[in-house]
Amino acid sequence: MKAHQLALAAAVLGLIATSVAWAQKSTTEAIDEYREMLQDGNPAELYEMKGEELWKKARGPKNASLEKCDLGMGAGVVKGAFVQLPRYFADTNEVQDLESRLVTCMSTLQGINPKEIINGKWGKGERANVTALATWVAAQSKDMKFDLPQSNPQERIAYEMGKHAFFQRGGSHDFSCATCHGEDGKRIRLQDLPNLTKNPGDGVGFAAWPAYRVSNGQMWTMQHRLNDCYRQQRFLEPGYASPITIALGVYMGVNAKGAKSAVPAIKR
Amino acid sequence: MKKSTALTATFAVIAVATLAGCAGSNGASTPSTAELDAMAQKMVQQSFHDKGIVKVKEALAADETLRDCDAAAVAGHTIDAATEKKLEAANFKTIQWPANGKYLGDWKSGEKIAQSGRGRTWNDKADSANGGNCYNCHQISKEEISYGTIGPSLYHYARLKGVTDPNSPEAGDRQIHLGQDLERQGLQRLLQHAARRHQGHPHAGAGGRHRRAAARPEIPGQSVDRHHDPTPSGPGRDG
Repeated sequence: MKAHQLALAAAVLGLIATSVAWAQKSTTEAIDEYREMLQDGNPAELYEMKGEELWKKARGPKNASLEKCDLGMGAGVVKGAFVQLPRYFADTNEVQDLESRLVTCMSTLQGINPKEIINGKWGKGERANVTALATWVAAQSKDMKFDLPQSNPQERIAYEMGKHAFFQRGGSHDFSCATCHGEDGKRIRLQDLPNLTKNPGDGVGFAAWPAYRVSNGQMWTMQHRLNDCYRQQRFLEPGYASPITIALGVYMGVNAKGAKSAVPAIKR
Repeated sequence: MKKSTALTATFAVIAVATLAGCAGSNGASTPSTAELDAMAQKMVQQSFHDKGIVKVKEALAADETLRDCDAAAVAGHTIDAATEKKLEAANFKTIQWPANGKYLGDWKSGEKIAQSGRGRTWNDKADSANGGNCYNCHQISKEEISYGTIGPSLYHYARLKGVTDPNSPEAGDRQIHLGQDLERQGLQRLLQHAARRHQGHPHAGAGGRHRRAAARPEIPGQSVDRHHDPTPSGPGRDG
C-alpha cells in the first residue's frame, strides 16, 4: 500500500466529516472516489504472500507442508477450489468451508491441534495462519464464478440450515441476517448492504471475503465477517467454524451462483 | 469438532433416510419441514455460546412471535392474517405508554439517543448506555446526512400525517394513524426495541427477559396512541 494514497484517502474522509453542508450526492461521490483509490494498493497482498509460504512450508509436529491438502478438487489443487466451497467432504463426512477445511488439513497433514484454532483469537497464532492461508487460496480463484455443488444430500440440507439461520431473529433487538440483507438497495447509515437472499452481483457479499479492512487494518475472512455481523446484531457469538457458520456459507454461496469472486477485496 | 461431528451425524441420518425413502427416484426429495426445523434447532444449540452480557438462555428464549414470523420467512411467505392479528395484539400489550399522557418528550435528548448505535453487544458492559440505533435505518433530521434506508424516512413524519401540535388532544387521533403506518411496514416490534433501549435501567441488558421490557414511546415522531386498537395490517408485511 502506498502511504501517500492512504494519507490522501484519510484527507478525503476528513473533508467528508467536516463539510456536513455538502449535498449528499457529492458526499457519496467522494466516498466512491475514496474506495476507488483504495483499490490501487491492497495490503491483502501481504497476507497472500504469507499464506502461500505457509502452504508450501513444512510445519507442525509432523513437519509437513499443506501441498497435499484436498480442498475439494483433488489433493493440492488450489485454483478454482474457493468458488466451490463450502462443499461436502467424504473423509470427514462433513460439509466444510474454506477455513474449516484448512483446519482439517493442518490437523491431519501437519499434526496441528484444531482446538488451538477453534478456541483461538482473531489475528493470533494458528488462527491468524488460517486467515493468511484462506486469503492466498481464495485469491487463486479471483474473477472465477461461484458454483457450489449441491449434488450431495448433506449439501442440500446445509443450504436449508443456512436459510433457517439467515431468517432466525433473536437477541435483544430481534434482528436476523435478513433484517439488513433481505432486500435490494438498502443501507446502514451510508454503507450499502448486499441482498444475500439471491445473487447480489459480482464481487459483493459472499464473493468479497476474505477482505482487507482499512478501518482497522485487519484481514478478515468470512468466519470473521460472520462473527462480527452476529456481534452487531446483538446476537450470540457463534463458535469458529461452527455448523451455523458453515450452513450460512452454503446458503450465501449457492445464492451467489454465477457471481465473480473479487477476493481478496478491500473494504472501508 | 465434536459438535460439528454430531451435527453431521444428524445430517447423515436424515440423508440416508431420505435416500432410502425414495430409492429409484434419484434421492431428490428433501426432509420434511418438521425434520428441518428440528435439525436447525440442534444446529443453533451446537453453534452458539455465552459471551459477555449476551447469554444463550436469554437470546434464544422461546418466543411465539419470533417462532411464527421466522417460520413464515423461511417458507418464503407472510404469516396468515389470523396469526398476525393475534401476535400483534399480544405485542401491543407489552408497550407501556407514558403515564402522564404526554407523548412529546425532550427531542434534543431523543436526537442524541437516535444517533447512538452503541450498546448490548457482547463487547458492551451491562451498565453502558444503549443507543437507539435509529439513524442506522431511518432518516430523521435533515441535518444528518448519514442515515440508513432499511426503514422509511421519518423526516417531517408527523407533519406529513397532519399533526400540527403534538401535545394537542387532536394529535391523539393522528397518532393512531402514525401507529398504523408503522405497523403496516412491519416496524412495530423494531420500534419497541429502539424505544426501550434507553429506559435508563442500568441492568436492563444483564438479567431477565428484556424483550418484554417497556417501550418509551415519547420519541418525537414515533408516538402511538395508547388506546390504539390493533387492526390487521395489509399484506406484504414480513411480520
